[in-house]
Amino acid sequence: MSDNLLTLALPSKGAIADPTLNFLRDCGLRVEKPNQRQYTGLMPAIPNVAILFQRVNDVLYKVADGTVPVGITGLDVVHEHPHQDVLVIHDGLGYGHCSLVVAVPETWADVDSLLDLADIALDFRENHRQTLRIATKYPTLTRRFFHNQGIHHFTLVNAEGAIEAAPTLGYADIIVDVTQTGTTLRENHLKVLPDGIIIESQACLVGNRRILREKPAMLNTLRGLLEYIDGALIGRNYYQLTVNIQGDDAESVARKVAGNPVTQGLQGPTIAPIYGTQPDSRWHTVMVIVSGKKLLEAVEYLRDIGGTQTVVTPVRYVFMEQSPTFARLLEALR
Amino acid sequence: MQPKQSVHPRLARQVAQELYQHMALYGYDLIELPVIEPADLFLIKAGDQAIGKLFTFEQHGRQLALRPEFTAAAAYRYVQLDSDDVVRWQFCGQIFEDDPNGSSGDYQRLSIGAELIGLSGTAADAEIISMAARGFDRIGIHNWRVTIGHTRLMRRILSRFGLDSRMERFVLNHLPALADPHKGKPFILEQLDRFVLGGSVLARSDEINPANTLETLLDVLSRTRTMGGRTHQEVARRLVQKRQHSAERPQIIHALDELECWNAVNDPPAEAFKIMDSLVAPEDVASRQTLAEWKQTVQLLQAYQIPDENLTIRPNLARTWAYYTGIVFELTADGRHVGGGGRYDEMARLLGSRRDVPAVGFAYYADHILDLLPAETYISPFLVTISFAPENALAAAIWADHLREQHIPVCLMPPGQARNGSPLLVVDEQQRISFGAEVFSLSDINRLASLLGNQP
Repeated sequence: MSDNLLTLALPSKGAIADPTLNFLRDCGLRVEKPNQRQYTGLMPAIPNVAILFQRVNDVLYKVADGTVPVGITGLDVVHEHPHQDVLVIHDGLGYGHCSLVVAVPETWADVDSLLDLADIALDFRENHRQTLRIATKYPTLTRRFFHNQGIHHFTLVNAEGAIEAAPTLGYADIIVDVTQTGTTLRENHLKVLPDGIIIESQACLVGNRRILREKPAMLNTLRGLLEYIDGALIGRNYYQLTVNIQGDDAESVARKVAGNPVTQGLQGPTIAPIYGTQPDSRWHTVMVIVSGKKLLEAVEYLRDIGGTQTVVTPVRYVFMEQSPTFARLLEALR
Repeated sequence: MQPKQSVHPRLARQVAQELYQHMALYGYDLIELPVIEPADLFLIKAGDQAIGKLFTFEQHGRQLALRPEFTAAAAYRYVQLDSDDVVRWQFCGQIFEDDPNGSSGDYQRLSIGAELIGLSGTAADAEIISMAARGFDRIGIHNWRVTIGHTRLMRRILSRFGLDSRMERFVLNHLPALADPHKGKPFILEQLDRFVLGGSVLARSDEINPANTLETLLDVLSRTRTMGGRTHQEVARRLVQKRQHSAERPQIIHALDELECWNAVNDPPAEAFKIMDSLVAPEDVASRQTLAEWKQTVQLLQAYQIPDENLTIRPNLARTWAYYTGIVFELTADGRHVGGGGRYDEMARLLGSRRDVPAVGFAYYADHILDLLPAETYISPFLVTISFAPENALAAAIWADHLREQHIPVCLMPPGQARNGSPLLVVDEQQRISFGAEVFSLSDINRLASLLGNQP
């Protein structure tokens, strides 16, 4: 096996499986799966990357025990199964968003917050002679959260599958589960406590600290992967504007364009004279990168300073002087 | 980092042995309790801080914990016995606490203590307090102090204000904050509004006005079934209770005013009881009775040779209000907490007993005690070293075995590695052994043993 071969574990099924492949494709890292029944794949953009498909929890377990050096899984899974060798390399890949929440029966009209729930937990202990039963697939996070909130008398009911039904079926009183929109919870007559959001989760890239330290060639392959991911994620935030503006010379046009922070670009505008059909047209083409959030503001400003024929194109990648995520990774491995 | 007691395990064992003998004089028998118990056992008893330090894990679907203390496990053992007998148990063993900051790596400590279960009254309280305090004399710590509080008296004082059990618990838990000049009453009221009443009082009163409450009640009752192990009636009752909490705010302010006077009491017995006599209203018979019992306990302590100058009376002494029901006390020496305990009559019921069982107990913080003891308090045990060259190993083994038969502790060492201060014997090639200037053959073993036995 080549020293620089990097195996990347990806979720094979579940809510973030397809979005992960879409995300990588959008980063220019298309994954090829030669056989649908096999658990391996290839990444043509970086031949030194091998893909291993695993269930979302197993991605983390495999990274934790060092079977694979890196993988993509959910932040909720990482926080639920903390491991000293697991390093979160990128905690916001921008998809697979969900929240781990505390949900109680709608009929508990007297319960609006965790403070109420703390009272109820004591009620159960003192008057029901039993503890509040919480159904969840996330015992570690749930236990820590409830203790931090001063709720100590509860029993965790480990459950798989349709946890939302637990209070109706009677094997738990409340639940802690992940939700994206809350629709399933509402359909099961449960309400989310406003202060009962345990963590906000999304897809993340994790790595095995020990292996990455020991294998610099593999780390270098990971650098390539992170260049693509960072370049694409940063690029998503920007648009490239090309606009024609009249001015005596490039310098005066530049001064006008850079007069607003929104149109100053990453370093500054690029300006070139337009050699039109009429002599002395004084037209210049300005190319500038603007933040997606400020796109309209930029367009209007450019109009105000005489800009016209503005063309906007999405930015596929922005490669900085180095991958910021890789720089943070090196720091964390030090 | 090593656990503290492993730094001087012999010292720990000697202290444990001394305390065992001390408590045995009072009739306390050693009990062995499991290191691993169901986590609920400790969660029922523990205060918030202790729970954060509990080591828990799951095995076959059961939530288990490493014991963080002995009291709950002892009370549970008593409940399982299903007996009315009075038991006097002492315990000694490792307890386990997580270190959330992860800096010390010191997860286990030695805990030594006792529980007197099945006996109520001032005599039992005095027995436990005096036994705990006099134990320090036994191990050579003489500058100890005992601070005594009384949760039942404070509860009785509070009961005059008609607070429900949760609000009463809130006030009791905030007694230390009331005594803190940086916090005081404003801090407690802020906590009340924020965490108990859930927002500003005005906003809360508005939200839970009578019309809203009635509307919500009707909505609750109109549903055909409820979920999550609670009945319509329970939900409705609590909705009304939430409204009452808002109405209780003025009473809480009155209660805090009164408790400020009690908080100021932190004196030797004579002065403290004089002040407390003046604080209890003449018509408050229950509080007067409790105060009288407290005085009686302190008088009994004098009989046990606990001098008044070693005692401080502090009614607001808070040791986990959640389950203490009477006397509570803390032991200090050189300004360090070295132990504490109290009465916990309601705990057995929480652990499944059909009745309350009177119980009082305490624990020493053994690691703090070990820190206070000077290292020279306990001398190294007597040990003879036999030094031998490799070719004399057989002779050395024979000599060592014979000396051990004479009850002389012996260790074998290569030349030049004798223990400092240890009598040194050297085996020669004729299988003789020399001690100082004298040389012995095996037939002189009795004379050598006698010589060694007289060594200082």
